[in-house]
Amino acid sequence: MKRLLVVDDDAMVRATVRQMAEDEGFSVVAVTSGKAAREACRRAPFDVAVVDVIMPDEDGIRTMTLLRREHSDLALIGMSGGGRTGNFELLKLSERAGADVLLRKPFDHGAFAEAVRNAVLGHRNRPKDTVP
Amino acid sequence: MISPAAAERFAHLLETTAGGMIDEPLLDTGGLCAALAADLRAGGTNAIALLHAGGAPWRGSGVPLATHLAALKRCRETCRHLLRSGGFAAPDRDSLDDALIHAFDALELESCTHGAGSDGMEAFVGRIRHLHMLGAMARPLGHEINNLLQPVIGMAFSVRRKFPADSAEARNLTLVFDAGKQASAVVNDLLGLARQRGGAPRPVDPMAEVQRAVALLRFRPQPGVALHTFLASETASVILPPGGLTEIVLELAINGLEAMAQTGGALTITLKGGDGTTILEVQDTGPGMTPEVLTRCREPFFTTKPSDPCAGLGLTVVQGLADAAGGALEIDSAAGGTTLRVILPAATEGKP
Repeated sequence: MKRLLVVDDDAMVRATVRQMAEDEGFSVVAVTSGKAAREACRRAPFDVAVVDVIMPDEDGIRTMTLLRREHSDLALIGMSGGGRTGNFELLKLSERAGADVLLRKPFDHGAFAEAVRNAVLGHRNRPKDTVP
Repeated sequence: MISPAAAERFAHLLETTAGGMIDEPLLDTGGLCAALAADLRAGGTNAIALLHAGGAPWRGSGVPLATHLAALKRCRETCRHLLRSGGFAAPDRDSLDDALIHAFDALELESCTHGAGSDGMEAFVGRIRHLHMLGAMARPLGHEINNLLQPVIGMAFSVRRKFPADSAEARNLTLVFDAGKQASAVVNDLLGLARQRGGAPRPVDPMAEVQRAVALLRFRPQPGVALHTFLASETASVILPPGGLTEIVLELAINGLEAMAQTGGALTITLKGGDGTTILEVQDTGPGMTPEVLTRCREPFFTTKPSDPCAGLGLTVVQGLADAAGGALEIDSAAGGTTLRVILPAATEGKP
């Protein structure tokens, strides 16, 4: 069973993304911060991480950059409901931080399933030497 | 930049119009819209320049401002319609759309300057402030609501799958799902409205932006206040949403003018280059800020003018624009005057 990590400070969003991912057949772990995400990834590898861009202690851009550095095989999905300052520009920024796919909240099952598929495929097809 | 061929095509369109002036029938029957349509079909490289060129002949033409703006609005709508239906890929379409919004704003601002005098200027500044107020509220609100809609939409779908498609439960959950989607569309409309001004940050010429603001300020003379400008001609481009630096100057200058409402004095606007930076200074000779005001003046909605519903966002907006550009806002204030300094890093090639 493929493993998916959800990183979001909002409990309701964690629960929803967990449900969506389980519906898609993933084994899911949900954490509340970037630090907890790195610890979880060190304990056991994940296939996909879905990371909120705006979080209080450490923003998702930094989380994804650090996750990408340590786990080049991990497929990364950035998600945001629009920033407090830069609006959806943050999602573009997260792409630069190494996200394979971006999701705008609120997203439905179809968008989520497609994002996961693309993230996994996109990542698999990406030559190793171009991984940021 | 407008290509020579497009300029020529446009000049020809102008000449073929009675009096060399674009009028509404021309917009409707072909003219500017046709030129724009042709350009957009060819990739849209000249659309913005055409729109600007199309705005120029109105200046001083005696055509009422409202007519001018209504025609331009229709023109912009035509552009947007063409963009939506013309098979453009999303990144190109969005950036062109952004650019058209800005081109329209710039024209509106210019027409305020040239056509409507100080009333137009006040209206324009008022509109900027209202949009900022809307934006300042819409962005965090939009973020929160989009977060809240995530479980509404996600869970409605997940739970619906557990019921037969023709059951009352499934139908009711479809209602919840659809309502969530609709609410999200409303939020995005609001966010879209809030980001209508400016568009994406890009290298902008500080001199042009500051001069535009100064031109607007000359329409707002304040008795007993002299306006001085020291603008260095060779300043490096900075990364801001187009129109952003004009807004910065207007916000700072209007604060300065209001500070000198009782005393009179001098407002000095300086633009200069520094070591890898471009620096804008706006200095007044008013009474200066009290230590309490100086500490709090960057806070959103903090104001010394409680009667103005849009007050309290000027410096927040300036700070936000400076932050976004990777720069800083410095404030020196003492009895005898206040100096606000916006330090912006110069745009470097390859790092837009």
